[in-house]
Amino acid sequence: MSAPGIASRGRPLDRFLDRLSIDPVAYRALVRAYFLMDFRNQHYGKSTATGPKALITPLFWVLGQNLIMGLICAVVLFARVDIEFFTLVGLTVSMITVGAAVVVEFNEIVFDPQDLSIIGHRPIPARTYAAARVTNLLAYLLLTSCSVGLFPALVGSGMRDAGGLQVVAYAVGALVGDLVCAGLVILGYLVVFRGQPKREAQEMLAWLQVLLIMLLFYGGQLLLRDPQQKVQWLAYALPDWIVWWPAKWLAQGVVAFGQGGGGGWWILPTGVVVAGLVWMTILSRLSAAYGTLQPGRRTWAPHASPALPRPGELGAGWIRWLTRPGEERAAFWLAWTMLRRDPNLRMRCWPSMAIVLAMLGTGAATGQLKNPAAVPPTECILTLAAMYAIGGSVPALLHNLRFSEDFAASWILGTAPVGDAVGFVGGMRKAMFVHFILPVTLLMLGLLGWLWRDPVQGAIHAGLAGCVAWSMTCGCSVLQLRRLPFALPLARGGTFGPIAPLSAATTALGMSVAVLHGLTARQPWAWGVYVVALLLGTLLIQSVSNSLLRRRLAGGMLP
Amino acid sequence: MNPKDLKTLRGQLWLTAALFLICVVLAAVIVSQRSRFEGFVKEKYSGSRSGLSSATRRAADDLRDGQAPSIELVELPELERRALYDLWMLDDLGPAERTAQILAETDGDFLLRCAEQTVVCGDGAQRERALEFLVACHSPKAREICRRLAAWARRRRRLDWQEQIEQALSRLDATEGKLGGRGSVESAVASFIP
Repeated sequence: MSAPGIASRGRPLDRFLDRLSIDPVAYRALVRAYFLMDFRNQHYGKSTATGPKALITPLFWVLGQNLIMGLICAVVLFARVDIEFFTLVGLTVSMITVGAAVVVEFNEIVFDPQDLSIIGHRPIPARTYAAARVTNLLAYLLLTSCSVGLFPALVGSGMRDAGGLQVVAYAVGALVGDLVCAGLVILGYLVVFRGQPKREAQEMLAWLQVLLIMLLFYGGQLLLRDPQQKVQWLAYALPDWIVWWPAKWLAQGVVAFGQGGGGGWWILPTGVVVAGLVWMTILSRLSAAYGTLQPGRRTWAPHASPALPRPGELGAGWIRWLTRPGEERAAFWLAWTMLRRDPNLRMRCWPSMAIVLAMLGTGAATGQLKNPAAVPPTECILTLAAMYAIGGSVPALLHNLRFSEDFAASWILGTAPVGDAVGFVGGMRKAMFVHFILPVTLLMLGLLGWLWRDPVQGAIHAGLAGCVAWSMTCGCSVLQLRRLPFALPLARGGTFGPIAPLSAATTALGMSVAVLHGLTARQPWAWGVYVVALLLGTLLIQSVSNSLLRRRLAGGMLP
Repeated sequence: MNPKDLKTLRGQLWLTAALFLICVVLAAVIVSQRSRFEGFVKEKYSGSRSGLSSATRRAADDLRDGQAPSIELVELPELERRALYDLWMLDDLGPAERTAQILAETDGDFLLRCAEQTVVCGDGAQRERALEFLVACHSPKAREICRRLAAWARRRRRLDWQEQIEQALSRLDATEGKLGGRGSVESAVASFIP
């Protein structure tokens, strides 16, 4: 550790730090350690299923995801809309992403009480610690902001109505928006909540990029395929409430500044001043918070996982009603509890349902969710596809039940006396069905009933979708639920790779049933035969799958 | 650089810089393909009558015969009214000007908005035809829409679009001059049809 003053003969940065009474050696070591922590960031590490020692680090994946978001925005809007709308969308996405990133990596980039136990006993001055923390925070925000804004800035400058200074103006505007947004999030936690974000919120928001990418990808497809090109119309006739959206003001300022003048050029310089004021406040608040990180001072309390129910109280009343006692109820409780307490597991499962939700959303937005009983099959393709695509997501959902962040404790389950393995598998698949498929079929019921003004038809169609999904759950469980659940660590590519053929098969089967539905829906007698056959088929598949499972799991579940 | 070096902080920073560099090149490629992207901008019309209700089909048949539809168009669902406009855009409804005039008389506000949307969202040929529709309507609203569109084209720096729209505007003004600012849509249309 070099004492202040020695560095005055060293490099210019060291001399500068020395003048600020910051220890250059400690500062450099801390900044390096924090940068390393940034690359290894923990919550994004879970959502990207990457370890800290991987060649492609979690931060690298996150930057890649940010770049993909910017790329999709730029490609979908390029040459379609005016530069102000283009800038508005880019800035909005950037502000949301950076705001979420601050919450997710709050401990790594803003404030972590655990620092006390690591560096509290070392002679590091509070000022040096604060300087290193702030340097890392600003560098992280800069990197995140650059990754989201790179494509919109460069591609936007190639639009016909962009000014010569568009790149520079966009870069400044994005930085101002992101810094203000991140600053408000930090101030919110430091001043309003007086604590750090909850682990649950961090882990959920770590998936925001993945969800935004899916939203932009599917939404972009919808916009590009829209026969009336409504995105251009939206850009032309913006809704009135948009004038209250801060990103709109900033976009106006960016465009005016990029064009070298015009109305609103003053917005950008004003934004710079506002960002400066916000960050001056943050720095003073952060300094005060860093001051609490000294031995003997009380810091924020650590988090703990929610308590489990006491033995013998497995599940609420509805679980007891839904499951048979013994292995089935225990398996249901286990799967339900694991899904509740492990947000990453949940978030790895939900994307499997994205295609169904996207179809429902697209169909509702474009008026294509028509009643198969009222129109020819060619005009209700999205309705049929959404109903029967649920079955296609079953293999991915069942496959995900093999993973958990608590996989190391799976030996407890491995040594447990599971006598009725079929009942155990039955409980697992019921939990999966109730957790993921039931909410989607209920959503379908509400949406179709509302769109068709006919709740009975909506209920029948959602019920049929549920029947097909349940029969596929029973069928796939024979192939997929032979091994101990929750026994593997989360791994990149593990979600979809191994079950691709099965997913393709279930999707193809689902679509074949959809064709039958479409062909029979308009003839009452054929429709009746179809519904009865589907219900009987579901019961038959359930019975056959149970007997197959009984034979296959005679020796217990495989490790 | 071997994988071990890449696992260091410096290696990761280099990797990140390389990623950004690749993205800069990709962005440059996208910008260089601007005309290709502009080519994708156009409206799509189904032109199929099979999905239309019998009332709408009857209205389409009336229009094809050059007659006013026997039903009130405003009472049809929006999608069906839009389908009639699509048929007009595909030139599948009989004499263009006469039909446009009838459509404007029976369902003016909605169809004017459709035409405005086509000018904004369509390709060159669609824009031209939508402007024909606006001119045929010959209403103060059509003139207001054309002015708004001209300002929009100027803002987007599309001089070719601006020229197209201003020509339509001047045709509207000329017709207005001939009529002295009054007269029915029918006589207005008759005045500029050669």
